This record gives sequence, structure tokens and C-alpha cells, in this order.
Amino acid sequence: MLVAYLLVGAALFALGLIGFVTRRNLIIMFLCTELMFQGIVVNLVAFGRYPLDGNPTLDGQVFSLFLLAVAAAEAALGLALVVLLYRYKGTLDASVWKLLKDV
Amino acid sequence: MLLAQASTSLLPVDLYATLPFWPLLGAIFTGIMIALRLKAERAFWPVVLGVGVSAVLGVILFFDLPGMLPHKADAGVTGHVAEAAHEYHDPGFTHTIYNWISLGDENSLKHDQWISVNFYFDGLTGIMIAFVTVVSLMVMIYSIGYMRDHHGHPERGYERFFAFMGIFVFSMAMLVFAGNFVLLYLGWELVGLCSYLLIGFYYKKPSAAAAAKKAFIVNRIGDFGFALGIFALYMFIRPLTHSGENPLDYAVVFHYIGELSQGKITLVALLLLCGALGKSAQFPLYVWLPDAMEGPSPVSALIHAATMVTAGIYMIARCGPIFAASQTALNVIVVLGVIGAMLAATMAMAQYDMKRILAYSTISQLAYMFVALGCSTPASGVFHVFTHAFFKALLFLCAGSIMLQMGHIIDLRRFSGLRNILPHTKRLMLIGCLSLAGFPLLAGFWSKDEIVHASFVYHPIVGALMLITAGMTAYYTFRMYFLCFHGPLRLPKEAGDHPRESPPVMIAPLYVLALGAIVAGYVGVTFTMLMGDSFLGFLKPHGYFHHYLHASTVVGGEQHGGGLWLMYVSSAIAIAGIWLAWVRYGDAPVEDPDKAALGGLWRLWNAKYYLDELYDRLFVRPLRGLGRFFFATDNNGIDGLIWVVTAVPRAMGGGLRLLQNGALQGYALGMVIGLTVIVLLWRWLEINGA
Amino acid sequence: MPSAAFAISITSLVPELILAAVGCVVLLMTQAKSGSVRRAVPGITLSGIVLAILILRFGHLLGISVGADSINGGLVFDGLAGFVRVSALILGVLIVLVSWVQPADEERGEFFSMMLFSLAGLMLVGPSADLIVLFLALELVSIPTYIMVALSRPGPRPLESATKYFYLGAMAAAITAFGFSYLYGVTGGAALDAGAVDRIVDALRDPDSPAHNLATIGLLLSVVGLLFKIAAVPLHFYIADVYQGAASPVAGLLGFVPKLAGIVAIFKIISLTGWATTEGALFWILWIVAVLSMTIGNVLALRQTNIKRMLAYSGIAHSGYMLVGILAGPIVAGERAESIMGDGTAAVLYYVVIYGIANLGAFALLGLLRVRGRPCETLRDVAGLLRYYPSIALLMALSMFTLMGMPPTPGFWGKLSIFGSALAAAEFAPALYHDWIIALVIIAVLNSALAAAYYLRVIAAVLLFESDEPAEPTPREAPMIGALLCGFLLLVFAFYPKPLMRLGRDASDRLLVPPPTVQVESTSAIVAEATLLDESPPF
Repeated sequence: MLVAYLLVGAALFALGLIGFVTRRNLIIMFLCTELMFQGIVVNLVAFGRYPLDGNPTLDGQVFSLFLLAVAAAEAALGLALVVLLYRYKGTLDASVWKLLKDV
Repeated sequence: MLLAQASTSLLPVDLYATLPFWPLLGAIFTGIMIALRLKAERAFWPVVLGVGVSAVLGVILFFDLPGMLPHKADAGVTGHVAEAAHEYHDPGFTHTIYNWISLGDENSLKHDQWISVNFYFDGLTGIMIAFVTVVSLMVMIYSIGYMRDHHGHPERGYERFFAFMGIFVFSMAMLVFAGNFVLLYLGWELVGLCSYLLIGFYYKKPSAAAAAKKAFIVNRIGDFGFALGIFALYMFIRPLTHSGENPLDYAVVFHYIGELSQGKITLVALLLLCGALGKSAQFPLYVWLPDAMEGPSPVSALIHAATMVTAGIYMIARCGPIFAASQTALNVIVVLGVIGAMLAATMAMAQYDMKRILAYSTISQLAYMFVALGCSTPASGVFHVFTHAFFKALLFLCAGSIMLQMGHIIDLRRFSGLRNILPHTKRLMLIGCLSLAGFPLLAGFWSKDEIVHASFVYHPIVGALMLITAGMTAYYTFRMYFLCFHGPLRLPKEAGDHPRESPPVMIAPLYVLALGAIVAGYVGVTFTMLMGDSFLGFLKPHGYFHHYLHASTVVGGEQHGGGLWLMYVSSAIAIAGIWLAWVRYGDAPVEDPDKAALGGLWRLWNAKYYLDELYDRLFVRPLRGLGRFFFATDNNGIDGLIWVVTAVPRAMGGGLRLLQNGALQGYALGMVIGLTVIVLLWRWLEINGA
Repeated sequence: MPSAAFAISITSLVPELILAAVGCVVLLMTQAKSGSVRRAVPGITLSGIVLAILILRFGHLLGISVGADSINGGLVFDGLAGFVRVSALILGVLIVLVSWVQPADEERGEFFSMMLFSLAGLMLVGPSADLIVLFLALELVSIPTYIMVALSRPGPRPLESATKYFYLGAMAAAITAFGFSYLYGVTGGAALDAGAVDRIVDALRDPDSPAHNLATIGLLLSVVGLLFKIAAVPLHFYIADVYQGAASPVAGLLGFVPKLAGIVAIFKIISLTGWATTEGALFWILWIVAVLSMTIGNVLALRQTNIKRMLAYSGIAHSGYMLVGILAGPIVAGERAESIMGDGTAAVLYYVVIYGIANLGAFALLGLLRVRGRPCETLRDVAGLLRYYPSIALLMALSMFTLMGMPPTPGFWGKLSIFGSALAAAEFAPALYHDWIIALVIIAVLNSALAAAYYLRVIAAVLLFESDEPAEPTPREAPMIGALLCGFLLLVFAFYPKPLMRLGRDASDRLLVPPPTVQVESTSAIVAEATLLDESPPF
């Protein structure tokens, strides 16, 4: 059972990572990080429920709750930033923001 | 050997160890005042107070120290030089404040070795610190009045002057207290830095800026040798040390120095000597000192006469066990000393700039001290350092007082007959001149006579040359004195209409110094009732001073007895020199009689043997050419080379810059690729067995 | 007795709680109508930090047992915790002074409250002995810094900078958390104790065990994600843009707070492997990351004329040097002495603080200066300062010399101890690794030489060049005092480095010996506190 859950978690994480790299819309990118966090939550809960040494603890579940809290805090911050950025340029395309660069 | 440990000190050692930091604290306060742009009028207070505290501590330490030192059961004379080096008894104690740089590595057996911040206390420390702080305090007080224009307003940079002086006293005290060679070097460089900053105090004057640069560069030459000497010591001594012994501490170095081969010791001694030649302005590195007189007079008095320039003497005296083990080095010291003494004295005879005459006489007197060191009588050398500090500081400050009232004119051809205008200065200057000339019973007489005596023991020719130089010293000193104060009253127009005596804040410290110039010699003589064995029937050379120093300067052993006739001879020579000066310059003639009488020789002296020109031709110009060459190669060749060498990093940078294109996605992609590469790499390493 | 445990834990956390509480107060003060109340914000922030320092130092006199040895579960107040707390608070004072006038009047409350939360997070990273607490503490460090970057000055640039920092930071946090989830899976609990170390070490040793891959991936992803915090290759891309966009004092803060947090977190994760850093796959990963960080950071900095970007890139290189120390690991030889030579982690801790101070000092001075009303950023802007503002010029030179590692600045002692401990570690490593460690040290030394090129350019510009239009310092006392204090501390640590080294030594003492496994009864208490702290930043 554990392996299946872990595969789901890893798949979610990988999808999030790939999405983060390939998408340009700031909100979609942000949702991709959320996806990554959900993959981690799946991992944690799976480990909590099916521990390797067969001695379940609640740490995984607790961790996942905190992770959600952190994700929520990040969401608040991210959306605030997105609103501000939109006010400046009128678009959510991440690639228009290149004021700061080397070349 | 019985060691009675230091429990009988008046004040705790930790308190004495704070001595250097009071002037620094004062300087920091003044620095804050500068930063806050407070009024310059009061800027001297923090530094003068700081130096005052130091001086009080210094004097108490001087009297307290003998009780603190470990007492040796047999204070017997270790006469033979080589023997002394082998049987080195630590005459003082090292007070460690904290460990600074770790030299030990934990994997070897020598894991507990440090360059510590530690202070070394022995007789030499006590004497040096006492007179350095007291003379500094006097000069500081004098400066309160001196560093002002003729309306009594502080000069531009008044507060900067005091801040630098505070840092100087701190550095000098660190130099004297230092318990290891690294700290000594640090103090050494710091006093050099202060000297540079203060010579260039009037940095808007091109000559002052040039003089500052010259002093700095000439000192670099010496310091380079000094640094090499310390490196060599570390290299030679460290293999001999054990865990817990810091390889650059004085006590450790002197303990093990005897185990080195003669060649190594001579090498170290000569390298250290290089540093002393530069700092103490000895032939051939003396050229910076006369130019250094471009700085304010108190600077000349304190740094370039009384304290900093004696650091070289102090260092050699401190490193006695090293020098004593190398007769070659001692001989080199004597030869350089004799050359320096004669050269500087003759040059001084044909100058008109009062401060330069005094500068040459400083070089000459420092050379006397070198001769004393070379003749294995460091106690006499240090004694002369001690007395010289008083009368030379006095003379420079008097010259400063004259200069201030003459509108910054110091050329003896421009004024004369100042005896009525500057009565106090005249009186004080007379005392200083008599002391410098070696007039009997004054401070300079006692110490100089000891050196002359030692040099006679070393070699009669050296002794004779020293005596002749002493005569010349008396002559040129009083030539200067008579030209200044005697004859008809003549004033330069820069002096204004009513030149008057300097304010009390300047004169009062001069009286203290004058007292020193008279009585400082008596700490080095003994009153005796034995008519036959004494000078003038009740005075006998060697006294408290020498006992005080005894343990620190075991090197050469006691001075040989007898030779009282020499005292009468040197008195006669000094008086003869003064008399000759009176005859020729007593009425301050406008036409210099020596110039006519000596002709070519006088011109040679006046032109300082053309040595500056020679140096210019031999070293400065070729070096400047070399510098230009290097600059050109630097611009074309080296820069080209660097361009080539850094081409790879720059090309890499150019490539990597393309990744820093500001795109969020690009960065994310780079990070993810990096992550993937690392995971795959780990996988690959594991499969291939790492 | 859960209630007793809870009581102990609260007093142990008093300094952190003070910071959090003052942060809340300051946040509320922003809403005040009166300008004078708002202007009091930096002062209150500063007094909060000073109060925390006083409690930390003298709390025991009041019966507050700050840093009582351990709270069951999540927090362990060992030497490392002490080091992090002390350095965070002292640097905190400097940071507050330096950024005294930074954001606009209306936003100062938010700004300073975020600063306090971030510092509180840093102080929690030190004692955290639990994956959950560690992760939360790290996020508590990061999230406020994103906001600080955005608030630090007006205009689109800080906004762009904050966006990049935030998005990439969130991604890195996700990577770290993913690694943590696998580590949790292998150890079967969140605690970073001796039991966890045993399991991880077993899993790593045995390639056939089911946990092996989980452990490796968990370890790798955790460490790589944390490389973002210290801006090491390959997660370094953001740093120049972020530093450039943020106001100078914030850039100075970013050089210390996340860096120390990241370094300490990496310590804690690598501790799980029993410091198997001088052999095996971990060695190679660290070796490559260290070399790439040093080299890439330096070559990128070499081409910069913008000082903020240059310092940012040089920060990558400094992380590379720190990784050399991490590779050397804690005390390699049994012999104990007072010096930190041979103790890689102590050397790294020393170095992080010195780097933080010097970096902050440099950015403080940049922040002080204005050229024609705009902030001073490029080499041309700082040219000829010596003539007009000698104290600023000398402070700048001191900071640069320290960063360069010129003796006798503390930067030199730091590099010396890091490289020295790597060499000492080489003595105990197997033959193959021995040579590679030596090679690493040689590369590091060459890189230091390369770095001198661009630091000297700043020094030359400040001290030697002339400028018709020199930068003007803003007439503000607090940032100037902050910069002076930075310089003063650098001088102190140059001539009296021992206390800091000893603190570092104490900190690395327990790194080899993880805390013993304990019963997980009172986790709820820890959790309660963590919630309290975590929820205080209002988003």
C-alpha cells in the first residue's frame, strides 16, 4: 500500500515541479507549488499510516497539518504579490518582469 | 635559582596592563568629537587626560616593578657573552591578557601554541614606559598651547592632531609592553603609521607630504628586514618548542636562541638590525629623519627625538640575548654607529635650520646609543635613551617656542639676539644645550660618558672617535644657541611687531623637562665618600638605574671599573667645544666664520656630503625608472597577463551571465536541472561504488 | 507531567516570545493615526531585541531558565542553539539600526514586525530537534523576508525582486519538505534524535533495504532545498536579482538571517548521517557543490560593476567556502584545545557571523549613500569617498578587506580555520579522499585570490579614485551608528576572536552526539507553541 501512496505523492510533486517550470502565469505557477505541497502531504500521511517499521505515530499527520498552514500563509502572500504585480503591468505573465537581470 | 613570585605589587598587574589603552580611549573620544563636529577648543581634554592616567600608572609601575620581578638568588655577573646566552634566566614575567591567534593544530603534539596578546614586564619595560609616558604628557600639555595661531585660536586639524598623538602614545606603549615579536611588530608599524600621519600633518604643504612619504618608504625598507627577521625566528625557534610554549614570545625565543647555530643567530640579528636602522634613523637609513621635521614641533620632539626613534635601540636591547650571541652583529652595530655619529655631527655643524640641527644631533646621539649596544653595554645605551629623551624633547620644544614666536621661521640667519624677548625659552634652551653638549654634572654628561668609556674598552680608536664627536656636539649645539640668543636683536618680518614669550601652558611643561635634563642623570650615578674612586670627589658612575636594569641586560655584564680620567677628559672636551663656539659665534655674526674658514669642507657638510643626491642617483632614480618600467609592464604586460589569466573566469562569467537573464522560469528551470543532476549523480556514484 | 513540561518550555522560549510579542505590538502601531507613534516603531523594535538579549543573558537571575537544557521532543537548547540565539540577537540589533529609516513611514510597522518574526524564526532554528519544528522555523525565517523585500522601498523593482524570491523560495521549501517527508518515513518519527540517526545510517549503509532509496532521496532533497537558503549552486540563481531589487539594509539582512538558518538546518540534516561527509557519495556531492559555488559565485562577481549584485554573487562564493567547512565536519581529532582549527562546523559558524557582519556593514554604507537622490549602487557611485567622507570610506574598505579575507581581519581567521579544518579532516580521510580534500582546499584558496580582484576594485574606487560627483551620506544617525558598530565588531573580532570562536566551539560540540531518544509525550506542548509563533505573522 505504502508504495502506491508514495508514487501518488511523488507524481503530484513532480507534476507540480514541471508545471512550475513550464507555466508562465503567476497564479498557475503558484498553484503548482501548492500541488507540490499536496504531494508531500500525501507522503506524510502515508508514512504515518503505513510506517516502515510497523509502529505508527501521528507525527506525519501533524506535520501535514502544519504544512497546510504554511501553504495557506504562502498563498496569502503570493496572492497579495500577484495583485500588486498586476497593478503595475496589467498582466500575469511572469516573463514580463525582467527589470533586474545581468544581461 | 630562587624565584620569588610577584605578589608584592602595589597595584594589580591587570591595572598596569590597561596603561596603553587610556590614550587610545582618549583618541577615540576625540574621534567621536570630530565626528559630532564639536568645538575644537576642548578637543585636547580626552587625550591629555588619557595620557595623564598612563603617565601616573607608568611612574607607579616604574617604582613598583622591582618588587614584582622574580628575584634571582645569585645576582652575580655573567661576564662571558656566550655563557650568558646559554644560561638565559628570564629576568621578567609575561602577563598574558588573552590568546589571539592559534598556531597549534590539534593533530600535532604542539597544539597549545598561540600568538598571544601578552605584556612583558622587566626592568627595561619599567624604564621605557616611565619616561615615554611622562615625556608624552609634557609634550601633550605643551601642544595645547602650541597648536594655535597667534590669536590663540586652535589651528586647523587641532583635534586631529590630538587624536593622532593619543594613538601614538598607545602604539608606543604597546611596543614597549609587547611580550612577543608579533605584538612588537604591530606596535612598531603603528608608531610608524602615526609618524607618517603626523609628519604629513600639514598635508597641504607639498614638502610635508613628501617628507611623510619619504619617512614611510625608508622605514619600509628597514621593516622589511625586521619582518623577515621575525619570520626567520619563527622558522628556527618553532621546531624547538613544546606544546604550551608560544614560539614568538620573548621568554621562549631567548630561552632557545642559544641552541641555534651561529650563522642562524647572526642572520636573525642582522635582519632585526635592519628594522632598528630604519626606525632609529641610522646610517644608511637615516635620511628620513631630517625631513621629518616638516611635522609640527611637538611631533618632532616626541616622536622623532624622544620616543619613537629610540624604538630601534629598545628592540636591540630587548633582543640582547640574540645580539649577544653574535659578535658579528655587534661589530656591525658599532661600525654603523660610529659612522652615523660622525656623519651626523659634521652635518649638523653646517646647517642653519634649528630643527634640522637638532635632527642631526638626534641621529648622532642615537648612533651613540648604537655604539653602546654594540660594545655590549646595553645598560649605558638605555641610560642615554633615558636622559636624551628629556633634553632632546626640551630642545625641540624650545625650538618650537622660538618658531611660534618668529612666525614659523626657524632659519638661524633670519634672527638673533632673542635673549630678552624669550627669557624663559632662553634659560630652558641653555639647560638643554648644556645637557646635550655633555657639560659636567648634567644628565647628558653621565650617560654619554659611559658610552665613551665603553667604546674605549671596545677599541681605543672607536673611543677616540666618540670623544671627537662629543666635542663636535658641544660646538654645534652652542653655535646654534649663540646664533639664536646672542648678538644684536634681529627679527624676521613674519614675527610681527611684538613677539613675546610663549604662554605658561607651553613653558610649564618645559620646566619639568628641564628638571629632567638636569637631574635625570643622577638615577645612574652613586654618591660616594671615596675620594680616589670618584668624579669630583663624591660621584661615581653606575647607580640605581643600572641595578634596575641589571637583570634585563645581563648580556654584556658590568662595566669595567676605573677610567675616571676619561670623565675629566670628556668634561674638558665639552667645555672646550662650548668655548670655541663662544669665541666664534658669541656675538652671532651675520657672516658665518666657519664658512670662510673651512671652505670646501664646510660646503660638503652643508650639502650633507651630497648623500641625498647620491641616494637619489643610486637608488631613487633607478628605482623610479624601474617603477616606470614596472608600471609600463603592469599596464601592458601584467595587465595583459592578468587579462589572459582571468580570461577563462571572465569567459565563464560571460557564459553564466546569460543564465542570469532575469526570467523567473529560467531560474526555476536551472534549479530543477541542478537538482536532477545531483540526484542522478548520487545514483551514478552509488552504482559505481563511489 | 505535561503541565510542568509546558511551563518549562514557555520560559525557555522567552526571548523568542518577546520578539514575537513586540512584533505584534509594532504591527498594531502601524495603524496608529499619530505620526509620532509610528516613528517610535524602530525604537520599540530595538528595545524588544535588547530586552530579549537581557533575558537571555540575565534571565536566570529572575528565575527564567532560558535555554533549560531540553524540552522533551521538539527543542534542544544545546550549544548550537545558544550560538544561534546570541548571534541572531546581536546581528538583530545591527540590522534594526541599519534599516532604521528604510521603508516609508506608513509601512515601517509591518517591516519591523516582519524583521522580528524572521529573527524569532532564526532563533528557533537553532534549538529545533524535530523535523516539524525545523521546517516551521525555516518558514518563519523565510516568509517574513519575502515581505521585507517587497516593503523595503517603493517602485516595481523590489516587487519583482520579492516575487522572484517568493516563488523560487516556495519551490525550494517544497523540495526541502519533500525530503523531510522521506526522512520522516525512514525514521518513523519526526524527532532528530539518536534513534533517527541510527535508522538513517543503517538505511544508507544497506543498499538492499527498502529504506535505502528513501533515505538517499530524502537526504539529498532536504539538503539541496536548503541550499536555496544559503544561495549555493544550483539554487543560487535568484540571489543577485533579489539583492539588487531590495533596499540595501534588507540585502544586508538577507546575507545573514537566511544564511545562518540554512547552515544550521544543513548541520542538523547532515548530522543524521553521522557526519559521513569525508567519504562516499555525500562527499562528492558536497565537494562538487562547494567547488561550483565558489567558482560560479566568483566569476559572476568578477564581471559586475553593480556593487549590490557583486556582493550577492560573492555571497554564493562564501557559501562555497562554508560548504568546505561542512565537508570537514565537526571536531576531527580527539584532542581538545581552545582553537577552532580542526573543527569545521565551529569554523563555519564563526565564518557565517563574520560574513554577516561585514556584508551588513557594506550594505549599510551603500544604504547610507545617495547619488543625486538615488541609492548608491555602482562602483562609479562610490568613487572618491575617501576625500569627502573618510570614515565611510574606511569602513567600506574594512568590510571589503574582511570579505576578502585579508589578515588580520576576522575574515582571514574564518577562512584560515575553515581551510585548516578541511586539511585536518583530510588527515583522517581515506587516501583517495585525502587528495581530493587537498584539491578542494587549493581550489578554495585560488578562489579567494580570484575574489580579491573584485573586492580590491571596490576598495580602489573608494580610496584611490576621484569623482566629480561624490555620493552624499543621508544625515541619519541610526544607520551610521549601525555601520560604525559593524566596523567596531569586525575590529574586535580581528584582535579578540576568541569568545566567538569558543561559542562556535561549544555549538559544534553536540553535533556529533545527537540528543537521546525520548518519549514523545509532550509533543503537543511544542506544537502549541509552534502554532502560536507561526500564526502571528498575519498574511
